[in-house]
Amino acid sequence: MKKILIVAAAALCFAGSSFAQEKTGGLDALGSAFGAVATPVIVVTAVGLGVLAAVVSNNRGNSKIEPGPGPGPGPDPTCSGSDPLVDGVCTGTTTTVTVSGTGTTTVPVTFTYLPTV
Amino acid sequence: MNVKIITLIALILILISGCSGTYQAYYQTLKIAFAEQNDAKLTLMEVQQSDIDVMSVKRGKRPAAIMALAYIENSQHKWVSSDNTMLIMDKGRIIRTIGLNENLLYSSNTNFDPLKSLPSHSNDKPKQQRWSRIVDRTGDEYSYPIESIFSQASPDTVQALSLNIEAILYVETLNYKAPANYLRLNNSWQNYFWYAKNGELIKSIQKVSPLSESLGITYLSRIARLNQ
Repeated sequence: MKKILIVAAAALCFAGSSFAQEKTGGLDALGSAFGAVATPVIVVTAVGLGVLAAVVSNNRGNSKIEPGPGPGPGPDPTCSGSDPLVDGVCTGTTTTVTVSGTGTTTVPVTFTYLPTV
Repeated sequence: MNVKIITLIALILILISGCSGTYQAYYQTLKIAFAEQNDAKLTLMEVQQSDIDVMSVKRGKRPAAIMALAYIENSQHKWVSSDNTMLIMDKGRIIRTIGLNENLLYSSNTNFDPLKSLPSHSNDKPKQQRWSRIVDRTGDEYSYPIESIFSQASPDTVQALSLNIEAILYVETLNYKAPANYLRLNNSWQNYFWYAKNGELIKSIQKVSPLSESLGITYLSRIARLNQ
């Protein structure tokens, strides 16, 4: 029995020896590690094609063109003869002659009309 | 007007247009894309002076990173990186990963992994060893049966920490034994394991699936101890 225990103890020692020299750090191990394992790989070809596509796209792109001003002002409106133009309306004057039993009366009458363009 | 003045004005105009936001964006993007990324390195002395075991890990085409041994629990080595990933390894076999964009969630039958009995002999005769297990991976890939065959044991040299270490290389050929959920043209791949003469694993290159990125692992602290 004693021999078996000694052999078992020796076997355990031998089994543990493979890890005996190895030094673990627990959470401190993060401080001894550096460099990245999980970062995405940059594919140079894809980046080159992307930049090329961006250059082509930008050169072909159009800026948004704002609508220009509407048609300009037309010709000035005119009234007949020397009729004045007031607030976009021509004012003309005519004379009305009224004959009655006592005499003839002349009455000036004004009228309005749209100017010609 | 003098020709020199015209040339100077043209040059200034060109340089000013180069400072516009659009061209700066192109320049910065290309600068990042073509920037040389250096591997994380340690010298032999730095490794020997480290209070925590370290290893160098090169994942895919990324620059190599240094990972540190955080815990040994149930004979499983748990290595952490500065960007909070963890590799959980059993006798050098990656049996679980945490924090990567695609992770190995579970491996079955690890008690019968031939790595646990390697290196069996340093003789030149290749020793056939088969091992079957089931793995779960992220991306709804569960219960994939994988069969391994260890077919080669050959002498090789591992270069690390400016040392050349004589080693024994074992090559494991792995095969998916079930159709994948997604289109998969290649169902077979190989893992590599280098053991020092004293039987310690000092380097490995492993993939958890045919399409995943390889993990090249060099056990710097073990190599440094070999030199003591």
